[in-house]
Amino acid sequence: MTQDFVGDEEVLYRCVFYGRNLYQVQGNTATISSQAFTDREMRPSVDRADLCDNNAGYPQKDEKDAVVSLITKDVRLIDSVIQNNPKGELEFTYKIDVLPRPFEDNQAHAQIEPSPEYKNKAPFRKLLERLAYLAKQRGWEIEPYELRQPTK
Amino acid sequence: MSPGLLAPKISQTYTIRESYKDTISPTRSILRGGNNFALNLSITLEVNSPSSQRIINFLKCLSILGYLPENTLEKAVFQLEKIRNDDCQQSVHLQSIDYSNNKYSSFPRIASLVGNLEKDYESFCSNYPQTVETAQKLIDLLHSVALTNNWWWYVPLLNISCDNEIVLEWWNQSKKITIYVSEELIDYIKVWGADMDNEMEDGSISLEEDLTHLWQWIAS
Repeated sequence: MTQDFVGDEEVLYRCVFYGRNLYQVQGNTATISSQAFTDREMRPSVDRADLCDNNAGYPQKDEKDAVVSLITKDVRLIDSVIQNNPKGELEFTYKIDVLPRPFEDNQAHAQIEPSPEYKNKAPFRKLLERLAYLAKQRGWEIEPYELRQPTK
Repeated sequence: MSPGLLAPKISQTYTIRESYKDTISPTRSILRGGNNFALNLSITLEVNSPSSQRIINFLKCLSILGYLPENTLEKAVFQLEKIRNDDCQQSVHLQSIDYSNNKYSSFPRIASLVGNLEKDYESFCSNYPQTVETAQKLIDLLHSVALTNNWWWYVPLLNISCDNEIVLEWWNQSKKITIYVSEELIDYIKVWGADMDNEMEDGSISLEEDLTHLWQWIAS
């Protein structure tokens, strides 16, 4: 059953689609792009590991897709996302949260959302960088397809 | 002379298969078989159709980004001009193209844009040549700074954002720069940690200013 709160310790999966330039492969490593977390509505989707049997393959749309993970408490940035006015003065702070947004066919679905809504792109772009940084620190749950190829 | 850019390592091969009528709206969505995007760019247009200039702009974008083989743009323009001069309705066909050698490996996102041509085409063709040229000039400038100072350089990862900005990303050890290029603005974010307030810095730059400090930061 879907819970109406995402716990701080919950692991979140994010699918990194194959063939969309969402990581840079150099040698036998791949660095995830901030664009792997972008979202037209500025609310990146994730899947809650607890609700998909901790199966990292759950968010994949294609077996060649890669998967990264985040910890909810790392994503929650209470009072730490600053919105400055044009003079560079503190206007207010955003609260970033992970909220359950289950679909009929995906009860594990959640979204990373701000409160209030972003006033401009700047804080969302920084959030993308933070998410990519955090994901990079945790390593790949499922490596990019290019790294899975057997070496000859 | 524009500095040479290293070819990225590409593991996929892309071809293009799609059709456009004189309104340049797609007749079917992008075909995706396995991991091969396919688009056959087949253009039919009427004499002196204003769409012909948009087609040229579109092809110019692809050409600048390195998606068209050498001389393809020139051949297409020649054919389009010929159609105009012959005063009759004809077609321009571009061959299926092997994208394994594209310059910046951003074709997947371009393909997704092309897949939405019906919705985005006008915007893409009217605004994108400038955006693409700006991005190209910026890359050349930064590369030039790197060459002049004998600093670190690598080909950027290139993407297109949801707002059709060209996104360039470079990583060098613990430092990262992301640059968003749009028609009117070039924004950057320096990243050296996960703290959005104390380990990231954002701002805007222009092609007219000295970009040495920006590149020195990531190269050092």
